[in-house]
Amino acid sequence: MTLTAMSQVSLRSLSFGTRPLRRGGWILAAVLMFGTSADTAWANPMMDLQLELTELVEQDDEASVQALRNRVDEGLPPAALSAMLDACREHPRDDLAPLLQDLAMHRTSAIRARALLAWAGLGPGASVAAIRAAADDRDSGVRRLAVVLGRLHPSDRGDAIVRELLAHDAELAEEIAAQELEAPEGEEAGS
Amino acid sequence: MTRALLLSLGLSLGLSAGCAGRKLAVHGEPGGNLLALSAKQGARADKQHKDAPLVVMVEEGGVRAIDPITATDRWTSSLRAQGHPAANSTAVFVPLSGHRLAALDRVSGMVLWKIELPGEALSGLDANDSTVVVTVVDHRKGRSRAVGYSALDGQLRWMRRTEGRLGAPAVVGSVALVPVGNQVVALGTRAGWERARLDLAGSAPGGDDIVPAVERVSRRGEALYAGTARQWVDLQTATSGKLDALAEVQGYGEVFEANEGLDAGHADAERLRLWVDLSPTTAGHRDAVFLCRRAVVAMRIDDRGMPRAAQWTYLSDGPEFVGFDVREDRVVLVREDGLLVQVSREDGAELDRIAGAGPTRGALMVDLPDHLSKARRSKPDRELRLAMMRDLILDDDPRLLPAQQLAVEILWRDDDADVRHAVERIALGEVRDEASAASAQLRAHAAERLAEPWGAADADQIAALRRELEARPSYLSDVRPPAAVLARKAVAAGDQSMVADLVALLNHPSTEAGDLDPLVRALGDLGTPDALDGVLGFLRRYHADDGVLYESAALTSAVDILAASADHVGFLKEVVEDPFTAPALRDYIAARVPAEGPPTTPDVREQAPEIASLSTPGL
Repeated sequence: MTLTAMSQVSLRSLSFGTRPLRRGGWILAAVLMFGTSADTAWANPMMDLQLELTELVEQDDEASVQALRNRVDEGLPPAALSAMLDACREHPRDDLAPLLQDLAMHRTSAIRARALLAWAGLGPGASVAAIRAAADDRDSGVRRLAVVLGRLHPSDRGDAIVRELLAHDAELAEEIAAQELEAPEGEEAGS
Repeated sequence: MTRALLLSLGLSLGLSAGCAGRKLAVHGEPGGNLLALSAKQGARADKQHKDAPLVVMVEEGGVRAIDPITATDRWTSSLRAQGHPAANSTAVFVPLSGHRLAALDRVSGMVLWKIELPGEALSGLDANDSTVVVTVVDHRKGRSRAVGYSALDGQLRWMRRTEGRLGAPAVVGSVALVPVGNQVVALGTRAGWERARLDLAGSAPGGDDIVPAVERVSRRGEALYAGTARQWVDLQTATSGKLDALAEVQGYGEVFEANEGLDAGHADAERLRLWVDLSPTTAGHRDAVFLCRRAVVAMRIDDRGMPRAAQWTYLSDGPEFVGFDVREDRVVLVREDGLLVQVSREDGAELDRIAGAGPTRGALMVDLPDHLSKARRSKPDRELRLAMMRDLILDDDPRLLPAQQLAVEILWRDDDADVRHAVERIALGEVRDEASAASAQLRAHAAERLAEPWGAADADQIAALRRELEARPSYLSDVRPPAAVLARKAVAAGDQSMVADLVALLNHPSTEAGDLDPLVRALGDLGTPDALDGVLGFLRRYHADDGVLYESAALTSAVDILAASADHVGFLKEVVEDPFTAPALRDYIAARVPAEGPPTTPDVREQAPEIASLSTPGL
């Protein structure tokens, strides 16, 4: 599933507190804020690197995990990390969870967001941990992602974290409330 | 009329006998205002002070008085002193063997009188112009006496007996301040009446052989201190229950011999002495001067008695120092060959030197001027101070071991990791590797320092700081650790166990950009291998990230720190060669680490050549 396709996911079936959640334009903005890996691919060496990392992700063996670990430890440019994390999201692998957790602590918020998206796709336990990490982030864009992840990977614990986040982040809560008001009546009725 | 005469005679007898029949309580009811009394009497005495400087040399065969200003002999005497002399404005009082005391005219040296003392051992003596106050111990009867004699003719004026022992008296104006048990008693010098009594902190002593908690009392301006050769207590704070207001120089207490309050005369142990500036201070640190046989180390100590920085060192070329006094602008030293030398308190440079006349065991310095009329001097710069410490440490004279241990302590508390590294070299035996017991002790002392925090914080402060450092930024918990402040505190504490938390904060994504550079610098200052690994890890992770490069100076600071270490130059070259390294960072590194040859950044040896040379055996 691509990032753009993900933004088109129907969220009608997701519960959010006592009211149904609605899809809003801010979700798309939150996801697009981080751009795509292709946006930052600017030169052949970079493309080669991105291709190498992507292939390692797709190889699905122990050697590839170690190779990825080594490359990340050596320090990679954000564009290469983005490509690798996009690949991780499209090819979920449990054995990459430690690497994704590590990159969820990267200083660059775009990398953190991608790592959280990929990590959350590894199962219910991982999704809750990723929502918790996103909700606790100092960057408001990453915190918005917590709400997105809560809708993509619904669970009671995830919902509780998002409620806690909205209790703390008044700006985000107002934003959501405003979007709910702007949402077409039919969408809510159809839920 | 007859009754009046009898009454008059009775009063007269009572006064002349002083309080001879009254025992001095070991632990009496505190009363009067001893601090105010001593301040008032001290001010009066200061007004009467006469400026007639004299140095009384206690020589092997007698006593010699010299004028330290004109460098002339005033007089000599064949009397052989057994304890520390004292003086007033007209006489010098010399304890002699056989429990005797002699008074010599201060101008001519003529013997004015000699008397027998009523005790086996002397605790100490002091005098004003009318009375000599002596404290003596009678071991057989397990008690002490404080005795007042006329300074003019040696006639007994009063005597006070007590159980246990008395400390050395300090005469301030017309009162004698005498330590007894855990109290200080003010006795009037005229008749020995108790005029005030002050409780020190702690419980009342008991038993038959009570040793005073303090050995002597000293007045500095309006402040009053009680203490021993190595530890002083501000009596003002002692009354408020803070007895440990000024501790000994920590870790060095064992070098000072305890004498249980008895005057041992000019004995061998006296060549290890500590002078602490007891003037009231608000800065939290004090000047101190440590005399160690043939070395003098001037330093700063903090409010807990920890040596923080060396000011200068002065080494004799062979003979030891036996006399020692510190004035406002200089340290006055008497050497065992009789040499009198005065060195500046600013930089340790010799200001004056008067040749000696013969073997000398000690000296009494009386009414020395606070200042010599010499040009103002400036403190030595850091490099010179470190060079002095190097010379002290590299001297293989075993007599200097206590001073060398002190120097190691000071090096270990230096903010510069390269300077602290010298302690590691000493511990590993890269220098001072000779097979002597003193060298082995110095190495062991250095190894002990390596195992402890090098900073100024005490155990409670370090524990509190560790708790603060364990917190991580959290939006949901509203936790935002002041990482830059904590980093600076960690460096000041010098506790290497904090490195892991500092690295964790550096790598935490929610750490503010403005805190990154202080964190990197703190790790560089801590300078341990794991701290440098943390810096290296941060640079490795983000060397290709323009965003991190431009959000703070942390990455360039990391380069500076690693470029100063030869072990990490290879890594920096790898970063330069990485095609994905942020271009600005690559240029920054390339300017500091050329493709071939040594780094162009300031090298350890350039930063502290005098300490770096410690690694060169034979220096």
